[in-house]
Amino acid sequence: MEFSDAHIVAYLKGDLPSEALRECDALMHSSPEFKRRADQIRYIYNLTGELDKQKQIDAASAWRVVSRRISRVSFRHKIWDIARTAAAVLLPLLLIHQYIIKPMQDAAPESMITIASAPGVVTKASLPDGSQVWLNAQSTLTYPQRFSKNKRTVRLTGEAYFKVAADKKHRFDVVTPGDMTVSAFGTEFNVAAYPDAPDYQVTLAQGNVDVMPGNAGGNRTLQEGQKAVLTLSSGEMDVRQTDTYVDTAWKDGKMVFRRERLENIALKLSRKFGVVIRLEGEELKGYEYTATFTDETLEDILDLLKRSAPISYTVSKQKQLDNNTFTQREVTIRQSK
Amino acid sequence: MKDNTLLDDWFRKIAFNDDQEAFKALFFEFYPSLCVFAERYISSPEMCEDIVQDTFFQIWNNRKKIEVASSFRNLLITSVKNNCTDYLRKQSIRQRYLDKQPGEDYSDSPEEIYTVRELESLLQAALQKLPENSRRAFELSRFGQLTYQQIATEMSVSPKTVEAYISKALGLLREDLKDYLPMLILLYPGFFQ
Repeated sequence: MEFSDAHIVAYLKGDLPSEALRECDALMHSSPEFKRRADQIRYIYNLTGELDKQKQIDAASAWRVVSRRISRVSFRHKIWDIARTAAAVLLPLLLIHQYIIKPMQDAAPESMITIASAPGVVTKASLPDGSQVWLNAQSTLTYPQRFSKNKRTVRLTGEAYFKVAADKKHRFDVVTPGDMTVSAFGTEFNVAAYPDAPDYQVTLAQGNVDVMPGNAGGNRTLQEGQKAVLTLSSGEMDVRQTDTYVDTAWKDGKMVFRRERLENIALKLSRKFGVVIRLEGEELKGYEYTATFTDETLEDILDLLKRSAPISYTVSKQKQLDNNTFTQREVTIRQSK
Repeated sequence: MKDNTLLDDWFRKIAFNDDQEAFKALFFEFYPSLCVFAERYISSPEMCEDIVQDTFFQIWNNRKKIEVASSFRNLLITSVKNNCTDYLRKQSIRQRYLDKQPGEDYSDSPEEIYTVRELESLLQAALQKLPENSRRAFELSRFGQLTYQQIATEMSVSPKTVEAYISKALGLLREDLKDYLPMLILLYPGFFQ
């Protein structure tokens, strides 16, 4: 039987009836010519089959998948490159700062800042470590522009209320004239150290502080509600209970007196109002008053004092001096007859 | 038939200039043929596509350190083949009971692929020379996947005539492609659809 090419296709597909199939099988072995034809047809079928198959593959959507993956990776690379470049630039700067500039700064003499309060004014300031200070009238506070590595030290003349930012590693020291030192890590306390007062007082509002009375030695640790009083004439320090409100009300603009001697009241009034107060007579100094003043004028206060005790007062006019400045007003308080 | 200078040019642009356009061109040219090639090893067409996509992704990532032993064409083929065998190894660890590896039939066949463009240029010229009826019948049979009966209806002739058309087409194609055939027959020894 003669086979057409279409028959050979059917043979290769296995579609021929079994009789013809056997005949073809035999021909594959016996006739090289038949085998060659079958191979050629098979190849043409394979070629067209392959082409058909490839054409059905959706390269475009596969490309979208691959290109998304690539751009994700290259985005990560870009971020990484930026980070590496940034590190390459910043690391030397950091090292220069850490090992050259900072030691230079540390070695350089500290530049100090001094703030002062005028009579009758309470000044509030923030220190470089974030601590807050209320500086009472006629007081000065000196502190470095940057605190040194180990310690925070400020110098105070006069009265100030400290709200110290907590920092367990760096002690906060307030040094007064005469080298009394108040030392804390983070608390609130009031230091009154006017050189013209008979004593220095440290009042603890919160936490705890150590008070070192200068050359005399004998450190004391204060508990809440206690105050240390350092008598300047004797150099002795004792600790007593106190009403912290009385000692710290000034920072809120109040003057609070509880059985306070007129002598001390006169000192506080002179600072608050920038006047000189003269007390005539020793007995007068011992008069005790209890009062709270907020925004009264000096005259209001003097009138109130006059009303509750047998005293009288005179106020002198300001005098102009040659250099165009004025003297302070003088208040004289005397016992009335 | 094979345009290896174009391929060299693409690879040069990809490796030295990070040229994504060249990479895209490479992808579109070789993706379909590599997917069909992968089917020699792995039966699932979806898995084949995944593996070829992975291969292209790896080629892009490693573009700076690619070492070409013989040709870029072989590199593509070898990479896909390696990924396929890697996949099969991992599969066979999971499925030890499978004693027959798919793709065994191809163990002796040369590793070669033809791109769509190459296959078309090979066939198209030969197909153009066929008489109209024979070409139509052959294309419907091979690309339309129709039976002789369906083609007969389509062309309004008898199935016998269709058979004659196809025989004629095959005869002419065999004649026309005979210079390539002895070499190419070796490529797909067990592949018949």
